[in-house]
Amino acid sequence: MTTTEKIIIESAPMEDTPDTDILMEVKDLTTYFYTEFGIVRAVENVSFNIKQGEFFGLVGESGCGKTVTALSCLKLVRFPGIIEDGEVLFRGTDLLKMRDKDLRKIRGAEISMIFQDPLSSLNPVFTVGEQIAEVLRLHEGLKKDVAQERAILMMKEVGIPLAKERVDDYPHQFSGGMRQRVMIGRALSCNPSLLIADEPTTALDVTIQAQILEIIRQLQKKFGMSVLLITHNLGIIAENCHRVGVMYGGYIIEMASVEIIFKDPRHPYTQALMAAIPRLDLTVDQLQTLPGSVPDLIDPPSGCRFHPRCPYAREKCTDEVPPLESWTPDHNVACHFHEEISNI
Amino acid sequence: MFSSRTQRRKKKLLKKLKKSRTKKASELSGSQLAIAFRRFRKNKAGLLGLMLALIIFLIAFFADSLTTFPPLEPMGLSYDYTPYYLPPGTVEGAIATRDTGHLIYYISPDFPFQDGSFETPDFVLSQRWDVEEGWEFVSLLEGQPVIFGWWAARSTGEGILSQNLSSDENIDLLYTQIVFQVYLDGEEPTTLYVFFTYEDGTYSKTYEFNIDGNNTWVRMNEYFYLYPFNMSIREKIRNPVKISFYKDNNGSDILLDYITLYAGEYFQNEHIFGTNWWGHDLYSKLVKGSQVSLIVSIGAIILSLAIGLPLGLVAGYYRGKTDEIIMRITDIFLTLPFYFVMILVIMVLTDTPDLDNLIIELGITAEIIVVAVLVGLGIFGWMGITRLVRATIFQIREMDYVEAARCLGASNKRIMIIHILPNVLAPLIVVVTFALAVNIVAEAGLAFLGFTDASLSSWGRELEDGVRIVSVAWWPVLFPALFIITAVMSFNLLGDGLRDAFDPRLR
Ligand SMILES: Nc1ncnc2c1ncn2[C@@H]1O[C@H](COP(=O)(O)OP(=O)(O)O)[C@@H](O)[C@H]1O
Ligand SMILES: [Mg+2]
Repeated sequence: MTTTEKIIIESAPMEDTPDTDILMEVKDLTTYFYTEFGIVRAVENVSFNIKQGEFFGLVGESGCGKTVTALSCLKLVRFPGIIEDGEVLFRGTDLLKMRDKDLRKIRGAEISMIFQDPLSSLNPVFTVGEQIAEVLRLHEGLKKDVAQERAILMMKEVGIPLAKERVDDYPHQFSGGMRQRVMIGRALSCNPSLLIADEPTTALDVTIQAQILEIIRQLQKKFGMSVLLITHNLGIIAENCHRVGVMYGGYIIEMASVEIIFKDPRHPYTQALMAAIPRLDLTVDQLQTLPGSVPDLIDPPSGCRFHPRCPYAREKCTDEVPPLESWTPDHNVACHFHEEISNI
Repeated sequence: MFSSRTQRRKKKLLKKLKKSRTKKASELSGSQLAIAFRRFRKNKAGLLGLMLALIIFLIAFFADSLTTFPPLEPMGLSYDYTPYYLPPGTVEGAIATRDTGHLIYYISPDFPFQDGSFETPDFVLSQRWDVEEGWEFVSLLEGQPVIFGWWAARSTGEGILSQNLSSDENIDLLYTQIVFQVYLDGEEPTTLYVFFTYEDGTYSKTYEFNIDGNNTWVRMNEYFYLYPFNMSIREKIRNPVKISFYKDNNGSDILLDYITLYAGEYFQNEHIFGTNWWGHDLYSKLVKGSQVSLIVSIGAIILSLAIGLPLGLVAGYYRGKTDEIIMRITDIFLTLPFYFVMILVIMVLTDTPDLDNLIIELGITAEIIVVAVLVGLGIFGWMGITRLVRATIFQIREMDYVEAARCLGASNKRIMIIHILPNVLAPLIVVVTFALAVNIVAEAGLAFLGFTDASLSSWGRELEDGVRIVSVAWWPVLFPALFIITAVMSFNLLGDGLRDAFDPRLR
């Protein structure tokens, strides 16, 4: 209980407030999967932006489209997934219109991504040093030994003890937390301006989670990069992020600064999340306060995808998809009746 | 107070504990391959398979020095006194010339020679076996007098060429009587020159004969010194003698004919596996045959890999239409009945007169057969590899590390070669080992069906020969079968061991 309160109070310290240049802007991103069971409408009209040096959180239940959103940003969605619509403007150029060759120069060098499972994110047949060095050789054209030296430096940077000795070890010789550190080191080795971290701590146990996030936070400050942090853990959001987008059924349904999201949520779904705050240690998936289940993205509910579970649902909600509207300049909500819904 | 016994026990236990701990630590270090190797070392059956497989490879590699008799090319000649299919353990003598393989014939130690002596010679001269012209009436220059009927070695009937096999105790040279007949069509007396030269040109000698030309056959029976003094048998064997006959034609010599005589060494050995239908030493033939068997099965696998691996990689990585097309091709090949197609090929290779002639003209029948079997096995053996590689890639490409590599800017080609291929390697090693066993059986099967050549010896071919006489002799069937079974079993054990070593479920 006390930790919970502390989290809310301490969240998003003001001195960290980033400068306002927009690094990446995602506009109306829509991605479908054409499976044999039907079209999976995984991401619909998602728009958000990440500013220079900002820690942006994306939160939502499992299966709501967070990972697909992140992959779409890097144009990494593979068959049967197709990016139907949208723009991903990175420093003003649309990544989705780029040629593959140019895009490869951005991936890993400008935008890096780390995944949920550090166990499977590293290739079992190469040493960790080789795998970090690979990125450096790929993007900076470094010689093998130089790259290896840099890999050791990077391993020190992410807090791997005895980096020099361990550089020639294989992934299976590392613990989960250490592997995730290696992954972070690998992703940051070329000093990217954006790190996409897709549930970087979900597979780790709690004490390690904190350490990993601490490292990401430290390196973010040190290198001044932006971070897109995907999670389904509200505690992680509260502790780390400046701004948050809440996803539900492929849509971003609310987006605001962390304080606003926690203190003044406007969307009934976000409110339901916040209602579970005393038990913040729970993940969003374990949320019991809402009736009904996660929407089926093959045959999604008409209108607002949340309406079958919404206590305030009216006729309009079944007919029309609510647009993501500005409620206050820094607070966007996608609910037809967000003005009427009182804060709980 | 602890008794000293307890103390000792404790010490022992601690020592054991320490040992097991260090063992565990070392077990976890190293690459995936290193770990698999360490696990494989503990697999007794796998090690046995590896050992047997190594032995088989060594046998094939050192086949030439392991044979106790020169592996014979079938002669198609029957010597009445040589019993076919001698049982294991029979001791026989034989004569080998410099180009081993051109062994002349076996001599039973107790068989009396033509002259009634039971003595076995230690040295024999023979005409090179494959110079068939030597057996016939041949004229090198048309319209010229003919020298014919060269017969090297101990002759059967009216010896045209016979040798005095014993060398004089005082004079260490071979004193040979050569009988030859010359047909001379001129009336005038002629000089006949006989030149003795060594292949390497280190020795030559000339004899001169004056012959009265009278339009008839002239039969000559002369003694020649073939080798100089102090020449060892080994040297004699190394130095075939070329004997050329020239006729003086008013000052310009005309070559009438020539013959090369090969010295041969007599030796005596035991047929440990007996002899086959042709009377050849079975052990030597099987040892030599391991080369063909292994070359064919390994070559076929290399071919299968060359076809199957890239196809599997492409199908697995690109999926979609590419995969669809490749998989349909694979299906088509899988539906083709292997043996039926191969029998068709046999018929084409052996029954089409034109191709037959071509093969004879090229003179590479045996090689063609080996290559045909190899190619046949290779072409019918890649589908499994393609399917395995494809399935493994389907599995691996879903792994996060492939996605991670892509996220970090690696290209498709790079991902395929650097990240996916090494992970395909482990299951591939296992499959290749099993395929080796399958190919050995298939090669034997093809040889058994007749897909072989008379001059080839492979395990399958020996088995086929053996089956013909299985009602009278058991050894020509048993020993080839044992070789095949051992090879197949060892490769299967090895494959099993490797699979266990690589199996991630046991990790
Ligand atoms: N390769 C795929 N094929 C079909 N459907 C997919 C694929 N990847 C993701 N999806 C679907 O897209 C939706 C969003 O998935 P995802 O973004 O992974 O969720 P999460 O928010 O947990 O990261 C899910 O309903 C999932 O079933
Ligand atoms: Mg996800």
